[in-house]
Amino acid sequence: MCGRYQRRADKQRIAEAFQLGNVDGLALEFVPDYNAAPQSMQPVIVWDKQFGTRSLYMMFWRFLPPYVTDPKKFKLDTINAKGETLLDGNTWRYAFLHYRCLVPVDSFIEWKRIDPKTKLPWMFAMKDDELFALAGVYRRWRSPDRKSEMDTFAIITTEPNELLAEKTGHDRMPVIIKRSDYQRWLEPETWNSLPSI
Amino acid sequence: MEQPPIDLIRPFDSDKMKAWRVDRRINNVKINEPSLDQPIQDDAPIPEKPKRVEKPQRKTKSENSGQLGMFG
Repeated sequence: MCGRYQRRADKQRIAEAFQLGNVDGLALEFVPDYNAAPQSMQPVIVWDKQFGTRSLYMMFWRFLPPYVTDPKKFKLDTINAKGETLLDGNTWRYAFLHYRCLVPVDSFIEWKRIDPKTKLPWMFAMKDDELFALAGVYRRWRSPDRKSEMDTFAIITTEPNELLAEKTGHDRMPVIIKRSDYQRWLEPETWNSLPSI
Repeated sequence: MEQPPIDLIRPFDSDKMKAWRVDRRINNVKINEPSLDQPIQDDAPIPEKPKRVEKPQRKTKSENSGQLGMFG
């Protein structure tokens, strides 16, 4: 599970790290978030097919599938999507195939359980202190009457690496996408254009 | 048919990452400040949770000092 992260970077630093180009005219405004929690609006990066560029959007951190009619009554925990089962079932499959995103973070937090009532937070970051990207999926949710809509996302998780398992004993960690894989993750069509081996 | 990049869903290289324990104040989503990422020692004692302060009970009418209320 990944239920908390830090994003100290501002719009300009994100733009440089993810090669978003000029963001001066971008109407989005957000401040660094030292305790980014589920059910808050967060900046995420998507592939804009129309312009062929990476774009920054504010999205709600709790994935709402289109079949949800009332978010308040939707009880499924969808802040994370389990990587191993993304292609199973209706909730994630379409988003994984067509709507993948990158979540820019400086660090994320996982908890070590000491006893049933006590969990100690551990922070994980890159050794070079660079901004990095968590893998996500997103969908636009619309109310049944079409009067309101909202872009929503989830962070994908996988089994833990040695560091996270050693420090926390936790059995999941967020998927981190390497810089060299950003485009392949964001743009579904690039797979088709790769030469067959 | 479009092939999703399922091979990218894997644990990240531990050698490129670092980890440190932080204060439990980060559990509170209402706290949002730069100092939340300050490291604390791995074996630092676990602070006790602050005890809930009991609210003083309101006096019932009969416990009042005998003065009549303005509205009876």
